[in-house]
Amino acid sequence: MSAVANAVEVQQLGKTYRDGLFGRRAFKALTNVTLTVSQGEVFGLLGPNGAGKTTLLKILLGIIQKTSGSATMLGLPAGGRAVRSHVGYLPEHLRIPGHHTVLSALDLYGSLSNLSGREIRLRRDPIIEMVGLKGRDKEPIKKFSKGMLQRLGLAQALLVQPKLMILDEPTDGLDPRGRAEMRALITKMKVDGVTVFLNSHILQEVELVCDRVAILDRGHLKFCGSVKETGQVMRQSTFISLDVVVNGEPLAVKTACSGFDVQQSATLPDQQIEINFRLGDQEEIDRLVDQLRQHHISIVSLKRKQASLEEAFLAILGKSESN
Amino acid sequence: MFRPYLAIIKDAFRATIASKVLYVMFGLIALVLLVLAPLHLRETLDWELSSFGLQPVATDIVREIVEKKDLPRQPVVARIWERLPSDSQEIYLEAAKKAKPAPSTDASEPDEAAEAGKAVEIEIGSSSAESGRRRGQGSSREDIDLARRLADDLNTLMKDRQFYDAEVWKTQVLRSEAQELVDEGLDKLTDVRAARLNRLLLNNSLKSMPIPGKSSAKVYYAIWHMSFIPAEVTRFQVVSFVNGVLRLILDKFVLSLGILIAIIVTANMIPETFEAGSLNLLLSKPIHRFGLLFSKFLGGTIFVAMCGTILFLGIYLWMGLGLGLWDRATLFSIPLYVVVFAIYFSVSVFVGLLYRSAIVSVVLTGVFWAACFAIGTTNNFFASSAENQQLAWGREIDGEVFAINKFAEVYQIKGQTLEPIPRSNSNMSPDEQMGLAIAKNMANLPASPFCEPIVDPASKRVLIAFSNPLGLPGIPKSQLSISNPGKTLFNDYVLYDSLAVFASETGPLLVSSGGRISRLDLSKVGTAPAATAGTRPTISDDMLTPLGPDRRIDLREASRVDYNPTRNEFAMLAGNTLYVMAWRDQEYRLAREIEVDSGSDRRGMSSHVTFGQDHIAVAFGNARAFVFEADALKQVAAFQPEFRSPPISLRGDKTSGRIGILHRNGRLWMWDPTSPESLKLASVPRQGAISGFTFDNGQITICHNIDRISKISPNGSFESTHAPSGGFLLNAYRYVLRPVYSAFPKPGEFYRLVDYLSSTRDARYDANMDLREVDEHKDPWSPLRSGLYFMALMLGISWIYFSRLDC
Repeated sequence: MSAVANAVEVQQLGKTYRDGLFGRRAFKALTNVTLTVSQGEVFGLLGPNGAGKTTLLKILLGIIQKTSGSATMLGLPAGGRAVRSHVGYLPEHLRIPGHHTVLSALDLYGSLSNLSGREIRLRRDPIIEMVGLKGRDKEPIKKFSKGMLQRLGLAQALLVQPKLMILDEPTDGLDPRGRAEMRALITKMKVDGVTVFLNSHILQEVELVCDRVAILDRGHLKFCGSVKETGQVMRQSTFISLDVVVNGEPLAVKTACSGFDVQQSATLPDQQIEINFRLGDQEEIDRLVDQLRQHHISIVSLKRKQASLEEAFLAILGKSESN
Repeated sequence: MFRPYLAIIKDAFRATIASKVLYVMFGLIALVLLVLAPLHLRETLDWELSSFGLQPVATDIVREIVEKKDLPRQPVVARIWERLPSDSQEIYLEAAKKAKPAPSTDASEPDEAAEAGKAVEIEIGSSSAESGRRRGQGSSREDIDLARRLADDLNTLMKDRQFYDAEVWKTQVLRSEAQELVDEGLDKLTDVRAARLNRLLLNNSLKSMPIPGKSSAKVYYAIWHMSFIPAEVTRFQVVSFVNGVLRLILDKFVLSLGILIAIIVTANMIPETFEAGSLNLLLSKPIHRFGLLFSKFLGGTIFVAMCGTILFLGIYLWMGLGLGLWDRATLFSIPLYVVVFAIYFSVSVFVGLLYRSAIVSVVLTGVFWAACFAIGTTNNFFASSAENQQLAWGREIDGEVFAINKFAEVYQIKGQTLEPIPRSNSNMSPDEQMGLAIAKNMANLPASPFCEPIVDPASKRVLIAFSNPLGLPGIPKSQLSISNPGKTLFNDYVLYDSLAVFASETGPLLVSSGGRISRLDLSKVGTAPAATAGTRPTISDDMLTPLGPDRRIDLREASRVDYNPTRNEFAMLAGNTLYVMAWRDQEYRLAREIEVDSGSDRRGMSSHVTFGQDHIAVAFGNARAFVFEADALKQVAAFQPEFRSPPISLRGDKTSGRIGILHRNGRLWMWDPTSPESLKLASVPRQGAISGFTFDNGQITICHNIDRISKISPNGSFESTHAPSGGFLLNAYRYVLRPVYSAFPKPGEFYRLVDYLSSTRDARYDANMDLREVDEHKDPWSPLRSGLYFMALMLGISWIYFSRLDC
């Protein structure tokens, strides 16, 4: 496989599901989606339920067929058998038949990827240890918890030494330690040069590991860029979040804050009060400061809060709804 | 490349092992075999001679051997003598000289009886009164020594597996038990049974031998004798019974139930693959969707094949070891019934893909099973009825086309319709009419009862001679049907013995079953039907002129006589002897005869004879056919075109000299005097569906089943075709049911192929086999062929559906 700049390229991708008699009922799951994922980056795909995230993943893997547009993975047509041998996939709601053990499951899925028995035996032990299943490789899977099953799913994906890893809700079912381990694994994969394409609802997790994210809403791509760029989107939104710590009588503080949108306030030790304001623009910040000083309220600290990904996400979606 | 798919198959096995299904299946199979295993036969076979038992008759036996050993017509006794030790031979010669003359025995020799054409069973036994008298008198030292030596020598002889030689025994008719043992095959007999055979052969040849005890088989279940089965039955009878019952149980119960269990066990294989999170992971791997589907299909089929192999192999071993019956049909059943399962499984796979439910898969597969059964049963009913109404003869007479079916009902083809020409119904009693109606739907005629119709050139009346040697209901034993000149009505006439009728310039010539030839004066035969129902007018003696011959020729069937008007000669076949009767001194006399070597020593085998132009052809029930020059009866050709299907019609064209032979499988072979060394498939359409044929002035008229009569010129081109449309039911059968049945799988009919493959009913290997007596499955490969096509279609549809499916 020749070196390619992008691990995933999607151009004007569309998918319409048809249902009913002669397929008369049509539902557009994806509309003109265009994005790229660079080699070696960790890319997050976000969106509310029904946005089309899983549809996009399935098209990339060839599980369903696209209606329009094009997609490539690692320079090869997406969904083809040739590229699937270089892709590791961890599906959402993973189900492995209960008659398997860890060893037999890896044997099966490795064979499905055309790995020889020898190759599987060479690779599996370090992977089993990496995912935290050491010592449990001969237990029947039907006794596994959801988290352990998820680890096994990751192990079978890693077995093929993929160049591109597609993870659908990888931390689903994992405890906090498991999630931390998963994040560490993803980071390790990135260091090893593996491109990771992940789909997750847990925005905090995405924020911690992803270099770039894309946000889908009702089949349309609303945003595609770095996590930092989401902050810019936030700044372009209609409000500024400001944390102010003041010193003063509560009543006086309250009077001084009248006319401004107070989100929450909390009393701190030493008679300090922390207040979060939601303000429209810089001018309003200046007016707030002036008003506080007019009421002789001492300003201990003033901090412009950086919008979280969740906030940016919601902001983007909210914009989309209003549009 | 195949590694992923092998992994899927391996996973299927892993799943069945884990689910304990495999153990359950093996347990059930083991249970069946354990139930069957203790069932076995214990056979008592008396063969050995004791010196004490031989004492009264030893001298008689020795004398008989010595007297007959050098007779040219006693090859069997000569064989016994040559196998005795030389020192014993000297002693026996001395003893025979000293012995008194033996009491007279039955004068008829076995081979004389055979030459008379009768199946004679030779009496086994000695003059028992004589032996009793001698026993009472006491034996001398010499008698005792002679008996001891003879017992030893004969016991040694009986242990010799090479004693029997078919060539040596061909002039003897064996008793049924001995014949059964011979038919079983010498190499398959145990030592005891081979000795028993030799004992029976000795008794068959030497009348002085003491009678052996009857052999009998007792059925045991473990140590318990199943006394409700009579002890006097032979082993062969028990084995045949068990084989028949077992086949029925296997086919109807074990296999039906077994396949049902197999379908239930495998029904979840596809639906469980479609569970969320499972299928997506599989499809993300670099494998073909069809490969995934087919591997799952193959995994299920291999699992069932494994179970079936163990079951059938176990039954095969039990039948062989317990009953002595090594039936290869059981082994052939293994792959064929795996195919049966695979057909049903392909339906289950498709339904599993559509509905993703194991229960729906089982239910709809059951519906499919019922549909196959319904279509097969309905088709078989109509086919049986249609087969019995197949057109057996068709001809153009004075510009009109006439046809006759196997029940000799005459039709005229007018355009698209087949109009029956009435036989005078007042001639048939109600019972006969009812019997005929039943026979038309139920009977399976091995041979048509009527001789080829003739048209009297002078009166233009059609004559059909009937004989009914099989006693079929509704059909008279012997009669002559004669039409009016307009051929709008046939009247039936009683004739004591009318086997065949032939046209000649001087008037119709009738041949009786005894080979007597008479000329019928048609001018004395009226055209009005009988006035009273249930009666028939009679062909009286004044209407007939006897024309010889002066000797009786036992013909029995119309197919054994033919007439050549140009040569004015009759060819008649009685047994294996071909007679030619020529016109001399105002009557037909025997001109020449020849013994035809059909390869069989059976006397009653079905046979046919026909005249070509200057040749005579003969065909036997073992499918062997011979052609002779008519003048010198010199054989010019010998053929065996078919091995499992008997000839049903042999006709010669008196104009061109061509001879056609039609077999029961609907294939017509043609011999041409211009290339006498070869017999070829006739260049006519729809070989395999031909039900009758006849020659007419160099052209050949072919009947195809019930729907077509075609006239074909010698170069193979069509002259004319008549295809009557038939009624609604017939058209529904022809255009709807039969095509559907042909295309539909026939999982319930694989027994036909099992029978065909395992059958020893192949005339190449057994010249004594009359194929007319053997059930013939038309196109036994049809169930396998249609089953494989259907399975491929189902898998193909499943593939197309699965490849386009958005999962």
